[in-house]
Amino acid sequence: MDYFVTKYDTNHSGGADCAVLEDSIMKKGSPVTAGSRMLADFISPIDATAVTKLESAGVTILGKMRMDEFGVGGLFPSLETSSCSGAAAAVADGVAAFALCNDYTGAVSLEAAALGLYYIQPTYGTVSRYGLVPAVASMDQIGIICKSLVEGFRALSIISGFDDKDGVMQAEQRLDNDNAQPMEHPEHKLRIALPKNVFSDNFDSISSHLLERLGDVEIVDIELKYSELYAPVMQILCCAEFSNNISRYDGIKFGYRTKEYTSLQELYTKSRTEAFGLEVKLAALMGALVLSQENYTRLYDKAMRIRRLMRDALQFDQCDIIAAPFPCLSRLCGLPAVTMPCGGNALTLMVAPGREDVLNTVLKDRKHI
Amino acid sequence: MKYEVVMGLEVHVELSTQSKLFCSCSAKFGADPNENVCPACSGMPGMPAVINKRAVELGIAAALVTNSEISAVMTFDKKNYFYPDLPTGYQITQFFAPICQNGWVDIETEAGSKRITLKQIHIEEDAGKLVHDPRTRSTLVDYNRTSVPLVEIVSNPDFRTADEVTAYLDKLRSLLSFAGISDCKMQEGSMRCDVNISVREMGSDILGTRTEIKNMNSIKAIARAIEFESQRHINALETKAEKLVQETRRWDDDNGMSFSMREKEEAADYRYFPNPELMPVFIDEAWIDHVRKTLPEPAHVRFERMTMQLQLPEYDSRIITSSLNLCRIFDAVLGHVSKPKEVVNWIMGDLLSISKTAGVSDDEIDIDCEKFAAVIALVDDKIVNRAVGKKLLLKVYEQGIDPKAYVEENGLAMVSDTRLLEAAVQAVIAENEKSVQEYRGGSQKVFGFLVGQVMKKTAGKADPQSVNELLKKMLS
Repeated sequence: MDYFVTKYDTNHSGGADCAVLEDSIMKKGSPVTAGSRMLADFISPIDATAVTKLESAGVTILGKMRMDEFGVGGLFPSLETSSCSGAAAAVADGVAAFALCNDYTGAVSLEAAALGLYYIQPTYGTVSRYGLVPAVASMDQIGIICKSLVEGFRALSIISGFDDKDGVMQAEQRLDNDNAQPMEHPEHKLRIALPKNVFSDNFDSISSHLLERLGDVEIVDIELKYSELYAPVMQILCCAEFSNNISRYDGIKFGYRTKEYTSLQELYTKSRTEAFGLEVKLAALMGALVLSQENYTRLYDKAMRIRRLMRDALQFDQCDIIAAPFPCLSRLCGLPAVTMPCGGNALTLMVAPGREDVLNTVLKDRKHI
Repeated sequence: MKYEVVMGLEVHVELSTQSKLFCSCSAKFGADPNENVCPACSGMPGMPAVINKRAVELGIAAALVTNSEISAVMTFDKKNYFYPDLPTGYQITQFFAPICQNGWVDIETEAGSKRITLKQIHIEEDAGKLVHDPRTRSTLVDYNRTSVPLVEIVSNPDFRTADEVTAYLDKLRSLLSFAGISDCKMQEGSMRCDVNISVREMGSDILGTRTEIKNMNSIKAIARAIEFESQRHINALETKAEKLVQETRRWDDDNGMSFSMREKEEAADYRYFPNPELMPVFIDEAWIDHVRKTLPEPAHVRFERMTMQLQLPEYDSRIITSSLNLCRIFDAVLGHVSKPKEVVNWIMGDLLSISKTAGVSDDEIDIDCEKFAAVIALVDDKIVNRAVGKKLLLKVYEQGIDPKAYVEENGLAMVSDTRLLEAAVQAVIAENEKSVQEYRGGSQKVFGFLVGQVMKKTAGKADPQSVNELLKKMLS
């Protein structure tokens, strides 16, 4: 299958020292579609900071990869849209050592794990989003799809770091994980929380896999509060922010414009109707709904408050890593995470903000758990 | 039946920053269409917003000069609506946690003084501008103004008369332009005012139906709009011919009428929500103090100092304190010539007449104050006369000449040689026999003429006072 949307003319044969980009990340002078007809003819006016950093570190960028429209399909799992991430497929096929991607819903992470790959989600605000087509600002974060975590964390140490072109960067933090040292735990063994309430029937198999692969760790039981609300809160917040972020695509200044129209209103309506796909329209409608005067307090504001409660309920005082069968908690709480295959399932390991080093030292050099 | 007009004002003021609120484009007025535009302020994807710190500081300054309570934490929010002058489809503004609240401004009208209370001030980005091209019958968009930082100053419904509104706007303009927060030019749109107006029976405490009038581009137009709109409300209440509805109306100053803008009312739900792209801004005491220290001495404090300490006339002091630039010129010149009254006279009588002729506003007068002071000193030391001094000032203003060198090069120094003066006077007496007879016959009028003739003979360089004395002596 052809996962390239745009292929750059490089003499590189691919593989090591090569990267591909999800088509939401900008490279100057090259198209960036974010998988949408709306941006079919849009040429990036700038290089994303992450791209600039990769290129100056000597990484060859082979091209831009096919993606689900604005990455929004992950919010509607019941629609059963087909596999979408060209970036994950390309890394699985060994075309590139790693791919950059904005997996704010967690769908790409699961897809990558199903292909036997890792997805590294950095702490929110540690990789610049200058040059990333925005979708859900409070969760947008460039992450890394990789076959080897050594490669992945090396890429992370290249692309992370403060950038004054992004308004929500963590000050001066650079994730220098390439040289992470093994952790010392004088008081206790590494504690991995496997919350029973989110691992329904496969708790035992996951637990034994982890113990077998990670060796001398302690499995801790904590409860993940509000877990039944992850999906609805995620959907409300994502749709709200998404509907706002795509309002810039109106057919006036750039992007798709309908051919015939007789009024401004018609220009807006027809351009957006013709250029956006089903999931985008669904998210835009739902977003407008939850932000409306009528629903703001009842839905959006409440979802924001629950999100805060979720963050406050994380028990990193009782464990070093929280494992979950889904990645969305890391997106809701801005946590660094690695999603990976584990005994036929996908497993997401999350740590406290800024503690990518814990994941790195624990997981590095272990091919599959 | 007697009616009471109740008004509240929303004043938008563009902040005097170099660059826009969330990108580094120039925020200056008057560029060619779409000259000051970048991917960020034209709404392209992939351009995160980054707050202009200077804009926040000017916001803090606006809070300070209006005696407002500054929030410890302020946030930016998004207001959603589609319009071609808004490239992102949302305006970044402050809805949930504005920079300050509960301020006040004291105004003076003929009816006395009054305190106008402010609900809040918030920072927001401006929108672009639509230009209708009649030739192609199309609408064009100019994004130069997009994302230029504004503060919106929202008053409580404290106004009862157009006089109060006018006095308030004058006061705001003085406070804000004096502190360098905004140049407050209504004709360039850097100060805009919407009036919320309703009318009720005198003594009633229930507010009537409110309308909002927009699109007034001078303080006079605002007064006219208030007059028209309040009369329209009163007529509606009295005759019941027209039913008042809560709506936004556009003022048409050419026709002297307001018109309903109902189309825009339809999209009333702006779906405000906190902007997740921008961190909350924490404003601590140290930052406020830092801004306070950069503020110039307030106009009213300076006015008091000028009238009380320097003993200058109130009228003169008011003119000088109406513009920070005039204050700066006054201070700078006074540093060289320590005669306050003299300096004020030169500014009021000479400099302002030069700048008015050149069509330059008080805030934009650009003159070398050291050279200005040198001109005053030349006159003061009787090296040149007042008339020559006036010409020198014009040359300083226009060409930046060095007055002392110019006087020497062009031989403009006063004729102080008594013999030369006497010769000139004698010649004038000899040449104007008729006028001399008239003068001796008691006519004072011709004396001035004779003085003028002597001045002419000396190419304007004589000291008029010496000429006076000499002429009197020689005619008697």
